[in-house]
Amino acid sequence: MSLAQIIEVVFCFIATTSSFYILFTDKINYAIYALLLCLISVAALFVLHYAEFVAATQILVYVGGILVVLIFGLVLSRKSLKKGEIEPKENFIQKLISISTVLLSSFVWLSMVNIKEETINTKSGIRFIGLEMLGSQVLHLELIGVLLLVILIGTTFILRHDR
Amino acid sequence: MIDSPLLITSAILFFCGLVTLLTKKNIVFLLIGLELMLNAANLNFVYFSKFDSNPSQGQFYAILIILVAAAEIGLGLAIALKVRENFGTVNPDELKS
Repeated sequence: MSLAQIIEVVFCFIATTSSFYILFTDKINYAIYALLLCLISVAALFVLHYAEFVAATQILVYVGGILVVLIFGLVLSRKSLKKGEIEPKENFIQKLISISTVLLSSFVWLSMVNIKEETINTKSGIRFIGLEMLGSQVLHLELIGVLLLVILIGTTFILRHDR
Repeated sequence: MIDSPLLITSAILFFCGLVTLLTKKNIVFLLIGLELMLNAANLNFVYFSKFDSNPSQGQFYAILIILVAAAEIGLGLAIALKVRENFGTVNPDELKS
């Protein structure tokens, strides 16, 4: 087992542990910190699989943007929590049933998959991603830009104070 | 069979995200579960792009997913804040018109 494989297994373990922590915790701020850990280890996995640009985007957008927005939303929603309001308890049986259903279906799916190792492409893709973004896939990029603009306007519209 | 730990990680992340989405009683938790599921999809995109002759294609779509997730979480949190303002709760089971 090479060093890269050991590092990969370690980061996989961190990602899975923190995702299970998100599943079983009731405290939302701890869940956000666990999500931070999970996203950073996923970025490390991207680097180990020759996708440096995706890893950089992951850290910039997810860890730098989305988690800050989540914590911001948490702070704003805590402020308006009414006095005497109790956090609702979760139904354990419901959780157990959904866990077993998803596990069963994923085992069925995993047992059907058969992957053949072929030639692995290890060349750095940043230059090719740039060429592709502004070349053959420019329509997708423009669509995402329009979507982001629409969502920005929609969010501002939803959060305005006056009716 | 599956020989990379990355694929198993991706399956577990998707599983945790889906169960979080199904069982939690808070809209912000639902958004976190959605993020986990999108990350699992990203891991699959990056892993299978290694076997492509043009690996930048899968990575490009992974970046697109990250951008859509960023847009979705902004809008979702705005809706969650508005729901709390109007209904007084963020529990999706208690929302009645």
